[in-house]
Amino acid sequence: MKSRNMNLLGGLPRIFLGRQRSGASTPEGIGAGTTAHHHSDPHVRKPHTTLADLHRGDSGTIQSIGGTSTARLHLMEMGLTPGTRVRVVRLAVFGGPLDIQVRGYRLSLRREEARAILLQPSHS
Amino acid sequence: MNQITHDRKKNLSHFKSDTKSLVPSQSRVVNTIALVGNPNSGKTTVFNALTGLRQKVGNYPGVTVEKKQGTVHLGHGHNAIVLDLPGLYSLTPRSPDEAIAREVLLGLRSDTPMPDLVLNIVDATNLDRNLYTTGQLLELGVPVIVVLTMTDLLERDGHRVNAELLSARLGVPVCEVVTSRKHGLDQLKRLIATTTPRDHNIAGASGHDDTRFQNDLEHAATIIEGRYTWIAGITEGVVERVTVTRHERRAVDEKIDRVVMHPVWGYVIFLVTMAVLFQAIFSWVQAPMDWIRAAMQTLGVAIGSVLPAGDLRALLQDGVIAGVGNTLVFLPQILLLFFFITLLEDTGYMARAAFLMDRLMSRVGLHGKSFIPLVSSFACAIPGIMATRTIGDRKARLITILVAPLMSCSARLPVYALMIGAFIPGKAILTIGPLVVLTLPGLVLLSMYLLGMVAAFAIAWLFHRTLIRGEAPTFVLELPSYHAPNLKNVMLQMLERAGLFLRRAGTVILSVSIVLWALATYPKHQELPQADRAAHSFVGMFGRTIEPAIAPLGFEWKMGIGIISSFVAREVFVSAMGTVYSVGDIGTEKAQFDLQQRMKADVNPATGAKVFTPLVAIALMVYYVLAMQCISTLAVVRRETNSWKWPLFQLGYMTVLAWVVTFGVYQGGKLLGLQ
Repeated sequence: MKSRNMNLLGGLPRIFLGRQRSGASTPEGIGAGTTAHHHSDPHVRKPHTTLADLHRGDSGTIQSIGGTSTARLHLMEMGLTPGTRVRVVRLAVFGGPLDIQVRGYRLSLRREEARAILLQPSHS
Repeated sequence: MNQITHDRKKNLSHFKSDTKSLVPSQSRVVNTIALVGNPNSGKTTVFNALTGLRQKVGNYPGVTVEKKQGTVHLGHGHNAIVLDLPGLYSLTPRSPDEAIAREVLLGLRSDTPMPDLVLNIVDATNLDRNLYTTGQLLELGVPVIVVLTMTDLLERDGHRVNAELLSARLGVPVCEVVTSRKHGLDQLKRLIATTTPRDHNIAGASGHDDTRFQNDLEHAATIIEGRYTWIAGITEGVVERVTVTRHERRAVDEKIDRVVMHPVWGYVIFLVTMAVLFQAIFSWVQAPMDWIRAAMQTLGVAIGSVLPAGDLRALLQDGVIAGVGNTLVFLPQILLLFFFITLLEDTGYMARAAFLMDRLMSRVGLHGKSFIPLVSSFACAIPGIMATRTIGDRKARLITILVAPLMSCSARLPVYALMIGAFIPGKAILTIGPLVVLTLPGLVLLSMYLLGMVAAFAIAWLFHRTLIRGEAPTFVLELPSYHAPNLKNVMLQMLERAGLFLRRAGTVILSVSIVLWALATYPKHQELPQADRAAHSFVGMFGRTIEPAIAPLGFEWKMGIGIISSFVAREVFVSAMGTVYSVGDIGTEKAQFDLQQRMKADVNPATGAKVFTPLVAIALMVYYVLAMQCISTLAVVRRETNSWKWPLFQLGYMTVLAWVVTFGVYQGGKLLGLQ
């Protein structure tokens, strides 16, 4: 996962983000996608990077979507299908929603929803 | 509904008589058109451009989904019905909106004619996601014309959609429409007029019935992925770069958003917007509200001069005009509020505001978009509740509706003003030098507003945690590109809301006002002086009957009468008190003063204690903050939730809440030795 330093809070303390991200490290929807889990690779720092782990400006490619069935299908119908590139445009303060760019349009979703979106492991 | 059916017949007969000579009798033409498209795709603008003012709004029977329909003139006397289906991202029947759209398209609803043709509105700047719906429509097997909107925005970005290529790949006609330039509308109408409508005798393919896959997630997911793969093939090379521009729209959006969604400036802008909205619905419309009030009074006087004194005159003056008039006064506020809301929605700002407010609101189970309805409820809960239509999540919308009446509306203000004016001494509490910053009356008034807000959030949290379970709340919200607002859309939306409100005032509110008037008038005791008659009416009797229930709150039967009369509108409490204390027309300043003096002097004949004390006044205000005492609001909640269950529940929980809290305030105050 890329860890670019962020200054999105315009000088506000970084603690807020630190707290959110520690909560975000456990994906809710595991293995709901069509691809199998990637437990085999020991070099990957976290077994799953979710959309909620990305920083402002980061991009990723969707691997699979978890969560409840309705929420999952809803996100997929909005264009968040496996293989799609997403970019985090900004994050709201105090653990508020994410603003992402997907398929050429902007979408905002809550962190809980973003946590269910698993990304392909980055190759860096 | 009847009206819609009736109109349809009229249209059809009109069309038959007109076109017989022009069209050979065998050839069939399009009679019913459905508009389908994503939210923010410009669907409403196309609908307005096609139908003009020939449109009406209602509800699909049995559900809360809005039914909008209009008529389009296609030339040569050929008219067709246009159904504006709810904006949706998918036709998979998961939400009621999607279920209704699907049923209408498949001709499964007996209350709606089966569409012969679907106009699929597709935002050219957002082809991928918009074509998802197109794919689903094609699977349904209905005749489709793709209407490409926002091509002007795309052009500004230096791009162009190759409509011929898109049309060839989709296998359906594609028509570019730019409503602001009136471009493409005539071509679209010609296309519609020459399209062969769907043969109703042959059942269309019902497409992938996604309902069957509700239990088979993998299958449903595969279908969705398949549709997007299909879209990738369709759009390949369809958007062509024409020129290179420096100011690309998405980049401009992001530049604006860097300020508007900024963690500091974003909130400053939001608060200023809210302050303007609040100020506007409170004070800008005072003048028109006064005109309506004056017009109602004039009407009452006119009726008085025409009709002889008697029950009919009293019914019209005190029942109809007082009841409906008291509600009609809020019309200017409703118009202005919807002017602002449509403006915020149309420009794309509303989604940004929801983004900023969502964290705070979601803590208590509300939605980022709940904020504006709640703020509007400070003026009046009716427009506030009507404004919850913008909230996509059903659970969040319901909770917003349930707690909105806890915000202190402007009809409570006269009650607060009477009580504070009479019983709260005008002591200064906070002074800076010679400047009085806060007085005791000011503090009390502020506390009442705060109490309502705190109660609204606490109750929302409680309902979120206990009562309304079900699906997890979602906040998947598109952040549309910024647009200049379309004035015609804004105006039509305003008129539409005003019409819905007037229909309510003309039916439910009118009948309830008449019933309440009758209860306050009968049985008649002509032998008694005017002041005592109300006390012996049904309302008076009821006021006495509930005395044991309200005595623990410090209230006696006179307040009981006031509380019951308040169901017409809360400020009626003041005039009810005026009647009970017989000070005549409460409209004058002198009468207000007289009323305050008499209330202060009133003594309970049994105990010799004062009826009203500052503690009783506080208790009464607390009761008014929390109690559901507004028939008009209940009627609107009934309409918006489409059942009596929720308004009755709301009446129940708010009455219990008001009783319990007021009991605590009064008894606690007594224990502390307060008066």
